[in-house]
This record gives sequence, C-alpha cells and structure tokens, in this order.
Amino acid sequence: MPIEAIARIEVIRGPGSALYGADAFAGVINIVTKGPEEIEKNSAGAVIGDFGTREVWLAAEGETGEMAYSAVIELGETDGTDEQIQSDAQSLFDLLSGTSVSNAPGSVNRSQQNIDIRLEALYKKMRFRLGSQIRKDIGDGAGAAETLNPTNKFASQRLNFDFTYTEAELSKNTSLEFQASYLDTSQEVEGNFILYPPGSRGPFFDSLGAPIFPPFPDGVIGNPEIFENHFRASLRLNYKGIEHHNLSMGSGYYHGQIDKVTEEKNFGIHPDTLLPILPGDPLVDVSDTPLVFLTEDERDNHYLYVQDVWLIDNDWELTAGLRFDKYSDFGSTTNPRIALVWSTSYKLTTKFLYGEAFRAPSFAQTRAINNPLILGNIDLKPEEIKSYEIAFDYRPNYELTLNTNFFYYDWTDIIQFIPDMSGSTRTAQNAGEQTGYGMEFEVNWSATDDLTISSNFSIQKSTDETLDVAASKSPEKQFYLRGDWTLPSDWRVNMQANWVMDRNRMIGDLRPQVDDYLIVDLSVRKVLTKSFELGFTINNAFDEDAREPSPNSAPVPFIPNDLPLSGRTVLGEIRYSF
Amino acid sequence: MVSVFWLALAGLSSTGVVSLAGAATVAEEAIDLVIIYPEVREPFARIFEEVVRGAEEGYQQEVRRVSMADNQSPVDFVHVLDQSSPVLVLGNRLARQVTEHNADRRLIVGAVNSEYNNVFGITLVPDAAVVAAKLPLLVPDVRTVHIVTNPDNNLLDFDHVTTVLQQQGIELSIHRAEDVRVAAGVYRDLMPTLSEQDAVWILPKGSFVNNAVLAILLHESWEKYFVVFSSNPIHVKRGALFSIYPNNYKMGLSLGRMAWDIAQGNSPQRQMQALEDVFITVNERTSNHLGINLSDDIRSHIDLILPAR
Repeated sequence: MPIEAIARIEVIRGPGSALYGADAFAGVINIVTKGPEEIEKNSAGAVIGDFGTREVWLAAEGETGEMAYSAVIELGETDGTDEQIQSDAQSLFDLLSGTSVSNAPGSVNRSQQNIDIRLEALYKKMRFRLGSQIRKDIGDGAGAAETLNPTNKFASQRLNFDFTYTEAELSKNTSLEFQASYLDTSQEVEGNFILYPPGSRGPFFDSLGAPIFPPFPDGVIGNPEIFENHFRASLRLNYKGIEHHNLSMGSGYYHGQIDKVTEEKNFGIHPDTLLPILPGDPLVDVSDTPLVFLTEDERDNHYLYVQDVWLIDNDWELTAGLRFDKYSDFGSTTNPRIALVWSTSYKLTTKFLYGEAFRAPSFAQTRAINNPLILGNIDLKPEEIKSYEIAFDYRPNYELTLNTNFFYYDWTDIIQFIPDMSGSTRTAQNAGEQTGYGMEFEVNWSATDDLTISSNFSIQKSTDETLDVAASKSPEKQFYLRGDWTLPSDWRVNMQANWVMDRNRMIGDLRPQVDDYLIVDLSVRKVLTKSFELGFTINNAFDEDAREPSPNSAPVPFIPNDLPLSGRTVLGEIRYSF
Repeated sequence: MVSVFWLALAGLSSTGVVSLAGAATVAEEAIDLVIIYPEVREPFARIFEEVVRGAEEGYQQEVRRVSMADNQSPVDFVHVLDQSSPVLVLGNRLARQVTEHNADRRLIVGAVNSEYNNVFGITLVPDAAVVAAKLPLLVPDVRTVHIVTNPDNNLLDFDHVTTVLQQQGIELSIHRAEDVRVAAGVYRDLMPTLSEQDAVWILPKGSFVNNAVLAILLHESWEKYFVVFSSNPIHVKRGALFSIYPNNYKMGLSLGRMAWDIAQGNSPQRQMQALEDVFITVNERTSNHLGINLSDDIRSHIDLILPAR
C-alpha cells in the first residue's frame, strides 16, 4: 500500500491467534490506513534520491452529501542499491566445472517500480476500500539459487476490495461489525528468470545423485508464476450488557486458492516425452502438467471465537479469549489467550500474559512438487507456540515511561526441510522445536518540550531443542535509540540508531559469527510555509557494512560473505498541501 | 515580518472592497466578518483552524481570515476596518490587545481563558451546567467540588456555579490562593481532608496546577479515591478522571452565529458566555479504580474513552 496512505502502525505483541487466527504468531502488526477522516488536506509530494530513487504521490479527500471519500496514489521507482556480492553459488560451480560465468563480484539486484492506488469511501455505516498495487522490475536480490543474475525481474499485481458495515447500536449494549474482503495477487516473471547464468555447467545431479556437467548455453531457466485469490467474511458482535464484562464473539469464513500456476523451464523432465530436457533445448512449458512446481489447490477455513474482558475488581482486569479454527486441509486448532492486568499503583501497571498461536503451513510447504531440491508435504500440521510473559509499565513522572517484560516461549512442530532417504531432495516435516526466554526494556522520555528520546533494549536466549544448540540467525541482543528534536523556525531533526548483536550461525556452519552492526539514520525537515515542507534523509549515515546471515550449504556456503544491507543513501523530499 | 503584515493588510482591504461591492447586489445589509487569529505551529495551528472553519460556517456571509505572527499587533489593523464589520479575535494575546485598544468596535472574542469586559464572546471555561450534569452522572457520590483559585480574579461567576451545583446537591468550596507558591500549600493542606465524596476541579487558568502539583494531586487522588477533573485532555492522559474541553469546530460555529446576530443588530448583552460546545474524555484506568461502571448509557455522554494501559 502507499506509504502516504498509512495513518499509523500498531504492534500487538505476543501470540494473537485467539483473536486473529492463523499466523498471529509472535505478534500482530496492524497497519491503519488513512481514510477521509484522517486526510485533512489534499497533499502531494515528490522524493528523489540515490540509486535512481524517484517517487511522486498525491493524497486527496472530498465529500458529497453523506458520502466522504479519499484517494491516495503513489508512483515510484528505484535501482535499489549497489552493494556487492563477492562470490556466489556459480563462483563455486565455476571452480568445480572449469567455467568462468559467474556474475560475482557484482551488485545485488534490488530494483523496483511501483504504482499504488488506494480509494476509500464512507457512507453512513458503511466503509468501502479498494486498492491496487502494481509492481514491476522487481529484482531478485542475491538470487533464488544464490547466484547473481542482473536481468532477473519479477512483477506482481494485487487487487483488494473490502466492505465493512458497523452497527454501533444494534440493540441496547450490543454492537455489530460485518466485514467482507477479497484479495487477488500474483507473482509473475518478466522475460526469463535465470537460476544459473548462461554457460553454467553446474555441476548438477542426476536422479541417482551423481554429479553431471551439462552445458547450459542460455543458462538454467525456470519461469514460475503463481496467481492466487483470497476471500474473507466475518461477523463480530460486542455485548456490554453484563456489568463489569465486555463480551465479544465472532465467526468467519476464509477461502483461499491458487487458481493458476504456470512454469516454463529448460531443465528437468519433459512432460510429453517423460525424458530429461536436454541442455540447450528451448524452454518447455510444463504448466497444467504433473511436472509443474506447485499444484493448483484451495483451502477453506471456518472459525468461531469468544472473548471477555472482565473487570474482576477495581484494579484487576482479566481478558480471556478462545478461538476455534477448522481448515479443510490440515484439520482444526484451538487457541486460548489470557491477560490479567493489575493497576498496581498510580504509576505502575503489571500484566500477566499467556497465549497460544498457530502458523498454518503455506501452500509451498504443502504443495511444492518436482523441485530438484525441496518438496512439499500435504500431511503437515500447523506450527504452534505457547508464550508466557510478565510485563511492567511504570511512569515515574510525566516525562518518562518505562516498560519492561520477561518472557518464555515454546515453539513446536516447526516446519523444516528434512533430507530424504532416497537422494538429493528434502521434504517439509514438522520436525523442529525451539524454546527461548528473555527480556525487553523500553524508555520513552520527553527530555524537554522540544526533545523526545525513545530507546529499547532486548536480550534473548533461544535453543533449538531438537539439536540442543543455540538457535541461529535472530540477534540475541538488540539496542535502539531515537531522538526527535523540534528546533526554532520549524526545523525538525530526527536521529535513530539500531544496533544488532550476537547472531549465531546454524549448527555445522563453520564461518565465524556474523559481525554486529550499528546503523544510524538522520533526517531533517523544514516547514517553509503552511503549504510547503522540505525533508532530507540520510539512511545508514556512516555507511556501516551491515550484513544478514546467508544460508549455509554443503560443502561451503554459496554466498560465504553474507548478504549486505544498503549502504549510505541520501533522499530529498518536498511536500505540498493544498 | 512587518512587510508581510502590510501585504496581508493591503490584500485584505482590496478584496474587501471588491466583495462589498459585489455583495451589495445580493443583500443590502451584507457585512463581512473579519477573523483575527494567531499564527502558531502545529498542533496548535489545527485548533485555530477548526475554530475558524466553524465560524465561517456559522456566519452566513463573507468571512475574511487574518493570521498574525507573534510580533504583529492587531490594533492598527482593526482600527482601519469598517466600523460595521464584526471582528472575531481568537486567542488570549490578540484578544487582550484588541479589547484594550479597539473597544469601540463590534468585538467578539473566542478561545480565551480570561473574562473580558464589554465584549461579546465565549470563554474556555466550561459552563457550570455542563459540569453539574456530567459529574453526578459519572460519580453520583460526590458531594463537594473544590476549586483552588483567587476568587478576586474574574475567571468564573462563582455565585452562578454555586447555584447550579447546589441544584444537584453538590456544594462548591473555594480555596483562596494568590499564586503558585501559596496554591501548593493550599493543595497540600486540602488533600488529606478529601475522600470519595470530593472532587477537585482544575480550571483552564488560575488553579495554579503545574506538573509537580498535578503529579502529587493525581497520586493522592488514586490513593484516597477522590475525583480530579479539568479542562485539559492531557490531564486525563495523566490520570484525571475526566476533562471537559472545547469542541473547537462547534465553538467556532457558535462564535460565527453570535457574530451574525451582532451584524444583524440583534445584539445580545456585551458579556462573555461560558463554554457549552464541549467534548468529554474519560480515563478508563481511573474510572475502573474508582469503581465506576461505564455502561452504555454513561458512554453515550462521553466523546472519548482513554483505554486502560
């Protein structure tokens, strides 16, 4: 959605499946969009910056009689960044097969063009929203097969529509909300999507797992495309008729389907002859054959939930919720949530929280077939998490808010791709378990009338229980600091720093630990007149060499030196309201 | 800045002439309303924008807006305006300057927290009738409302407030304080005597409540279960039970209608009216602590409920 259409972002921490269903796993991020109520003035703006970044947007609102409406349109393009990958999977292949075709060293591919449109209308008790998101020229980062291919481009089109009807006073003490929504989305390939570059000879593996070195003059090409749609309808009732209780109940239906899967490729098995497609052969269309990478399929979900907020005593409030979900493919799951909130004193609030959540297996995890490396498993169960937390909200004075929490979680049935007995493939299984504990500390401080400082620090230890080793990738410590200054003559300055520390490698990965990084962003804004505002931003101001861990592979990681994040980028912005 | 002011003035007079000439064909009596309001930064600019928008809607003819920066005086500007034009002045500084020097004009003042003599207008102090209606609704046990202030300051018609509250069986108790230092002592002595049957009303101005006093007052109100209410929604965020504060748009609408009546010669008395166009916001954490059940009936009288943490 257009950034300009976002009114605010709410983060609801902790497992939320008792209310939100599937995938509300560690938290829920609620992006609240601007409707006619929030867009107070028409405005337009433009951004220009490094790496060919350009963006224009327009936000407008109006009303006719009892109908209020708004529109936000955003057009943008960027070349991404020029961060370099020194060595990729093809570099290793070059070494093994005597070729010299890798595009590494070379730049990661993070280009993108976007057109976003969002329309909203309010009429009496009804709200309509329509959104369209067109993405083109999307780069594939460091490559789907961890090889750089600068010409690889994806495209994606999304169309969404939703309708909400709210009856604030259905009868005394009762309110109702009905919502229906539809989302249509695609992942498409522009031109050819190259897995390994022209001239690559692998090595690849035959059906018996023996290495072969076939020549691919045009490269190894696979053009997978997915078209899917999702329909949702829900009804929620709220009843406040019982003293000290606020009761909500709801029910809903979801239908999702992958309605079209297409694929062209120049490797694997030919669907007509059932013989291997030979290197150098033209692309073969395997769409609508059993040899396509993913099966077209659908999934239904019915659910029912109930939640009560009970004021047990003046300073004690108990929220208890339970949701039952039934899926057409993997069965049913029930998830509770309990929150006990104690207003301990004027300055302190204490919370005791327990929640369970589930993550539904994705279509790729259940329906991937014919992939030379990974296979789906239709018998997967959802991943589950149980989380326990105690939290303190302390406000010693009006300038300072301190939040601290301590948590423990147990995450089970983690879906992992486990090597098959038969050969080179790996199949999705509910094999993993991870537990963890830690604490988070947050400060918000209005240091002066013109300066606000916010900061947080988190520390956590997670254990991969199946292997009894420290869990990998996620940082064990993280520190964030932000300052917002308002200076005379309507200057505004903002600085933020994010320090990511202590990320473990996966077991068997012999590389030294990924370096910690500290990224500092700066932004300055100046209100010129009531209508004009200028902004200037430097992201990663000190050009820190920040990297996220790349996957491990045998015998060595394909991209050994990890995945670089963007270096210093400079952006200028102008806004005009009218 | 001076040049900007004169430019604004020039622009205003020329368009004023054009529009007056045009208006003459529509209605003989059509007179423009001039609204003077301070040029301030957000979020305060929005407040004045809402009031001005309301006033434009409430006044049925042409309205001229003039915003003035800190270093600009409205006095000479008002002086050269047509005598028949009603002038709506918003904010304390501009209202004070204009009422001191341009008293012969048809002046209306708004968004001010002091009383002015011999002008029309609406103060930011909520009407006692609103307080008398809302207080028993939320906390029926309250028997006494306490105000710490200097009663000699012409901030509120205390006799009127006493009468209105008495009709609800509530007594008004004024605790005299001339300045912040004295007030701190008065609050300190007052708090130990308060219980569930007491409420402290913090006025928009003249109750001498700074952050330090507020922190102690709200802490004690939590411990001793007495009520604190005010006219500042930020106090609710900090733990006051409720706040009655202006619905800026509707207040503007009332000011615009008042200006229209004056332009028509149907002048009410030249005196300030208390604020009737209000929003009410309630702190749920505090209301829970006090054992108030926010039923749907009560909620229908509240504009915003600040949820518990």
